[in-house]
Amino acid sequence: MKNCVIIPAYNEAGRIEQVVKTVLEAGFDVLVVNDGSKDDTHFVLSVLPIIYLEHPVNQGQGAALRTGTLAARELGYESVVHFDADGQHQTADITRLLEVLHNDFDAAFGSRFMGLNSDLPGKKKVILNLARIFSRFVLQLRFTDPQSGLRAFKLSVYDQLEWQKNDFQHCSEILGQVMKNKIKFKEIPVQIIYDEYAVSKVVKPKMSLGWKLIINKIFDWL
Amino acid sequence: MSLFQILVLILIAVVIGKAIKRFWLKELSLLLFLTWSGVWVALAVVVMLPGILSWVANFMGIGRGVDLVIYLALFAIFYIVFKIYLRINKIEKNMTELIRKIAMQNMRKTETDKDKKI
Repeated sequence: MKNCVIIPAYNEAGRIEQVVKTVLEAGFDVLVVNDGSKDDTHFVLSVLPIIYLEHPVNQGQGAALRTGTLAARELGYESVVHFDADGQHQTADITRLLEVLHNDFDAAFGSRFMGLNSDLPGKKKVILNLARIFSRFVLQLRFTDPQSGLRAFKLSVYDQLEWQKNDFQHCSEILGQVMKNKIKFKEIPVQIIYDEYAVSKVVKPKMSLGWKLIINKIFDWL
Repeated sequence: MSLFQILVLILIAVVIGKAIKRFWLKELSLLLFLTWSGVWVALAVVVMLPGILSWVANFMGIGRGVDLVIYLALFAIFYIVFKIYLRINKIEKNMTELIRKIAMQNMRKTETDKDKKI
């Protein structure tokens, strides 16, 4: 199966080169979507053997991932892995996610809450647990880590997964599509490394995200 | 006529005057011009003949004229907010599509060692 690792990047000049090199060394094709970065992300990536796309204006992680996924499909890839640019995801987990796809599943999701210690910062742990409860009981999403950004899926199911949200709502939206379209999926435990850089780059979860999800759910019911 | 009525009527005249100017300069469509002017003319009638509001309110089964205005104003505000929300969503979606097209057109694929071998 022809695989591609998609990395969305927004102002990641400090870490992206190292992350991309690590993934390339592991033998994967890399597609980076520079989502309107204002720092040197563009120059750092210009020397690397990757597929490179650039949003002239920042659109959000969901939009960048959609652009990358559509490009991968156009280039003839059969499956993709969504991977963060700040170094918190582990290259070994790419292989593990792809193994799930080889075992007759259409999608695979990395979870921080399936046993492996991800050393989550205290405040983030509380917020993510609240998000889990919210997702389970309000959005009816039965996943252990609904906000995980580490996922892989076959492009044959992309049309059923196709998400519309540009911001971080895309995580819940994709899971919603998985449930709605009964896509065969599996969650696997992954370890996320929150070093100083990753913690500084983490976008603080906002309450407005919760409100947006509730409003969208109400519109769905209507 | 009270001072308040005179001031409001002057204000309404200014707003309608501006609407006529914008319509003349073709910045407003005929439909929008008529709708916008109609709202202000109706307001002018209410200001000049306040009793009419109570009559309409009673006719519709609402106690006071002021209540009728509040209900209508709330309805109008919710409707406008909803329309703006939809319009912004549509503009955002179109903008993302445009940006995506630009990104796809300028896609750069650097030759990898694997490609070279092939």
